[in-house]
Amino acid sequence: MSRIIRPRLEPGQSIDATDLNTRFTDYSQSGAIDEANHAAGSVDLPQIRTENVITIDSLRVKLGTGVYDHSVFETVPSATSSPSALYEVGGGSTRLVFGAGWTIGTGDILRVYWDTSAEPIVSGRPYAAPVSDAGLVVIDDKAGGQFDLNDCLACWVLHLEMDVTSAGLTNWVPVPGQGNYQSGTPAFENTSNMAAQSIVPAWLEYSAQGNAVNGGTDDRTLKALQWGGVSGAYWLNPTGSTTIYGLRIVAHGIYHAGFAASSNRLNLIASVGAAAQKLNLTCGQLTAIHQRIG
Amino acid sequence: MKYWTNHQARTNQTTEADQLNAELRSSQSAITTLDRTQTPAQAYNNTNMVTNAVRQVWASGGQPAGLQGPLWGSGTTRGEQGNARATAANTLGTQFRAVTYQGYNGGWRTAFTQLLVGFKGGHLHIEWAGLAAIFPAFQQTNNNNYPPNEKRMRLRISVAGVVMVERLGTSKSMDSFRIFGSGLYPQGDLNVEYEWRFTPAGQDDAITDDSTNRHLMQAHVFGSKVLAIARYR
Amino acid sequence: MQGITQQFRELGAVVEFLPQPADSFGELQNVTVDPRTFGWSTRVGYEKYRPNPANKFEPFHTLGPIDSLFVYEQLSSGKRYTILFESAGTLYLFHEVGGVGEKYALQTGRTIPAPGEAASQYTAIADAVLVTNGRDTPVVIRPWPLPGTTHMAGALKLGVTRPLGFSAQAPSPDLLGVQTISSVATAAPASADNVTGDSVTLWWPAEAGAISDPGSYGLGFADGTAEAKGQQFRYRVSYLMENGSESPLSDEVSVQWEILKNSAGFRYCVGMRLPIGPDGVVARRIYRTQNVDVDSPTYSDTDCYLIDTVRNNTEDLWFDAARSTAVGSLAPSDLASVPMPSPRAGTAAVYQDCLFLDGGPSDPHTLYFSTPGLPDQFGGADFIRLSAPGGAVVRLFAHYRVLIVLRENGVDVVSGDFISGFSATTVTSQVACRSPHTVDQVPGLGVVFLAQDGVYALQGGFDGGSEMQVLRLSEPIKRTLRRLTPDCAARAVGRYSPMDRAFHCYIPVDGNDRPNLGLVFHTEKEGWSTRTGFPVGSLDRMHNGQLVFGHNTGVQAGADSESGLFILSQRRAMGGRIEGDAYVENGPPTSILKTAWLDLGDAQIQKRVQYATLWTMTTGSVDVDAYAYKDFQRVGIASRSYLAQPPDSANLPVYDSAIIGTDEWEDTQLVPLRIAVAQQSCAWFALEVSTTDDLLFVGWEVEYRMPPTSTIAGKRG
Repeated sequence: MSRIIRPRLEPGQSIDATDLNTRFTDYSQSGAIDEANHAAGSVDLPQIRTENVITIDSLRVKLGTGVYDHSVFETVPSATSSPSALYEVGGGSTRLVFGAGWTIGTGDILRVYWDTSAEPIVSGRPYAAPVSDAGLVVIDDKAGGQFDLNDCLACWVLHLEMDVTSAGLTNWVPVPGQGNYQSGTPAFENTSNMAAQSIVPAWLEYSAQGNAVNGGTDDRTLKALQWGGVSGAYWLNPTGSTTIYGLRIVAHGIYHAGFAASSNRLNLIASVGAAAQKLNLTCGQLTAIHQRIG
Repeated sequence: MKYWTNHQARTNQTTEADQLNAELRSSQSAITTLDRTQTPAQAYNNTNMVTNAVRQVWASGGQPAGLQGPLWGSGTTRGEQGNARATAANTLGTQFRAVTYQGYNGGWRTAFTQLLVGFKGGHLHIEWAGLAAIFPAFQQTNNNNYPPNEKRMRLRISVAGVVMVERLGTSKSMDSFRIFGSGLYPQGDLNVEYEWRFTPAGQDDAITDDSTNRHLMQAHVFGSKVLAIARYR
Repeated sequence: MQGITQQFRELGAVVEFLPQPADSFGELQNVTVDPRTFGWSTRVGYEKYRPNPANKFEPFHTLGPIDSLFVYEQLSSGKRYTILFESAGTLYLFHEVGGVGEKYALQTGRTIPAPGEAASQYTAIADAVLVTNGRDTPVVIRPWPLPGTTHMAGALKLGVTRPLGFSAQAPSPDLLGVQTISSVATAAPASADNVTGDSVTLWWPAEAGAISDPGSYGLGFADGTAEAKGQQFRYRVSYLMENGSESPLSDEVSVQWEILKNSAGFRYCVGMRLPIGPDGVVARRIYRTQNVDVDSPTYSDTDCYLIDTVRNNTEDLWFDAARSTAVGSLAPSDLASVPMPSPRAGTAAVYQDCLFLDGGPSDPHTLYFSTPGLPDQFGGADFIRLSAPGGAVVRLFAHYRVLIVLRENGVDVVSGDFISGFSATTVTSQVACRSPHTVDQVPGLGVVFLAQDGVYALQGGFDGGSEMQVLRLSEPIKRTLRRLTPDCAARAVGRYSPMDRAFHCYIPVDGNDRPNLGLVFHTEKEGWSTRTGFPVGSLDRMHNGQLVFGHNTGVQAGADSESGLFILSQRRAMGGRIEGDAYVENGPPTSILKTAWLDLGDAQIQKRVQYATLWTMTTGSVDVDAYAYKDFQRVGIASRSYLAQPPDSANLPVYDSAIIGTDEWEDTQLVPLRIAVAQQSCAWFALEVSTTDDLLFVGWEVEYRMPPTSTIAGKRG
């Protein structure tokens, strides 16, 4: 309708059918109501409820096949060669399946959250010298010699993958901004490509309590990391419309911090990989929400 | 708003222009200022509402267009804190170039600033999710034993200079974090600062690698993405 | 035969109720009062604010309706003024210094008012303008000094706009630890336990002879010979604005250290990182307690005292060396300043040096007021709750000795002062002002505004036994006022113009959503006339008393449409239009003067009007066309044209035919123009003059005969 600009009837004006009809049809233009017809506060929640103004879709699934009390858990093996195999958490039964697909437009945002409980297992010190790319740092031993300590910057990676090909869910790729650690020698990803991952420390050791003096230490303590919570988040506002048919979490390791070619990165350290190094996972949740940006 | 009868045209009454004008005027006034009792329920959606009428989202990332994803910043340092970044000469190749005690002596550092342009006033929810790395070895040294010198990556989000949420932060050597907060804020372009603060060195900490004399990495924040959601109604 | 003459020596104004007083008018359109004769002059019109036709409508040629307008007089005598206006959610500053005519966007993304909603209101405070609209954060515009023209567009916003008040308390300072000097006397003194980074050792000798000003600086104890001594100090920080307003104090943070046993000779200073304040902050204040450690004699004195003022908003590393005996005044209480209590204020006014704000849409019955002289500082207990039945606050207006609070269903006044307290009193509970932009002071009438049922004047006061009265001025024009679009009353605008000594009020009528009819109250006549065709969307007054208005439609009517700022002046034109590629002025407005319906004594008796004489000033060789009406009929009988020249002497010289060197400058003369009326008998008689020329009427008279004929009886039913 927009604005109705209609002068009033003046005495002396002929009583004209056309004029009267025109006045009344001012009010009957279908689909023409716009902002010029709305007073302040005229659109409230009842007017927009159920209209997908904010949330378009949402879905949640239990992530992993384990049990909360750790009585049942999955085990992710460590990689002994490069690149690491990608272990799907839940083995294929706990993924988000979107059926005919969610189309995330440029005015939309996809928010994904996941969590689980993880227990990294390590046996002994497989990262000790002569292995040199798994966090070896050399500390003064307070007697003029040197002591081998680890920086513990090693981790397992859980990252988010999607299928944009079909509802058959056979073609998984990492979400935009995330890498899949399958290329390079050894396999690596730059930190600029870690938008959708969470990390779990692979082991823990530290200078023994009260031991370090003036920057030197000669004793260490190893600590089993036990079960701990892990969570991750990701959001995507795509630059082009994207249809996603499913999401899953994959776990792999063990990686260690490094730097090369102007980038910080996580490198695969297959030399510490063995049956004794593994990651146990119980269960958690994987949730996705498809919303509008504005 | 609604109106009631101003003039009822009845048989044998004079065809007074003024009377019909009164009725038309009320009707026209009502159609110009529809109120919430007149606008139909469940009839308004994104096709007929202006953008950001109900909510507004600012997310980091999408920069540049070829490199999608929500990490903040651009280039090879996407998602990282850049406040403390050691140099090639000072870093072990098997560690991140990041926070060293030679380059950081404490205090809050702003890793990323986000300007929420066009915030209309209302409820604001902010999330910061990322990854943190911490060198855990020297927390219980000879002179920092009871109490220890806990190495923690403290995180906080400040909106318009005022802290919205602050967390003691993660202390695992490699961990993911997600800090979020919310509050009510007045209209205006709000400046959001994402800050970190790491535990300063203890007096007995080793800060160099004894064999190479390179500076030891102490902490890093990377893989960071931020999301701000305003809800206006 | 000589007829009966009725003279109207002094012309009244419009009266619409029937029967009308004899000297009044049924219709007065597009006229103004001539100050010399008190007659009605047709010299009205409007022109562009930038009169040069070469400018066309620039820089406003892209703007739609101008929703609100304010002329901010920054210096006396009109030396410097700034025009602020808002259109389509952007607040602009019109910059014309040096002959430049450009608009600069100060703030975008402001809420565009809905059709029935009032636009932004402007309040002058100190050296700035506060803009409030009930939706967005109140913003303070300080339009001077402006950067040079070459940097204007980019740097304009810096320092020119800022939000009002402090949105939150200042953040706490980030205290560094204090590391004391060891008591062990060895070559390399061992450090004390548990020291990490974020600590400093800022020592100052306590003993004489070591350094100049010994003992002058440093906090806490200097002597731990017998036993260790502890010190704990707590700090708070606040921000200061240029006008002296202080922010709410930050939370307390504390630092503590111990002088070790067997150590002596040094006091220590505390280091900290100060928070940096938002735009508008020029200094930080630091407050501190005395030593509140249990070892200290002042351990129970937990009050904070002023230590220092850092006179910038840049430095962040600061240290405190003030001895406990050297602290300053007590810190202000937590109630002295709170975060801005009304982030969506719709209206504001300065009264008794305090800035008053309404609570906004979520708190419409509360008024908040600032500390006197400090418009950005609001105390925690400084508010007034108004009684609920009066409705939401529409406009605050300081007048005489009170603050008038115009509410949706009543009028309250606030009186008192900050020291003894403010209180609110209800003046009336039935006057519903819905048009905040029509409020203005009119000499002789008090505060005039448009309410739901007419235009009112608030007169008088409460002091010295006087009474505050509410007077309805619009009784004579009720019929026209009924045409007001009821839900769009908030868009009406009004302002008193000293130039024509009249109160102008432009209202939306006939279902329109923006003002399209003007009502002018002439103070000399104490009566009304109307204005049609003036596209006033927003209105304000220039320093010289002329009214400036913003167009109510702009380019919403199409590209190249009339848009921007205009002046109600004596220009005999109704703005202009773009034709081809040039600006062409429109013609003058049509002025209509139609006298009251006269019953000439008794409406039952049929009269024969023979002559009507118009007393006019000789405004030139322009046509005076008069129409005689009888018995409320719509069509009048035209007379021949008359010239507004002396009927029985030579014509006065007129422009375009006066001869330079021969003709002389003239003064207009009052002459009678005797118009013959050729109509049959009538019970009621009226005369109308309609013109687009310059005419000035001082009075009129009618000559009639009254044969003994009465009106016949009514029709059979």
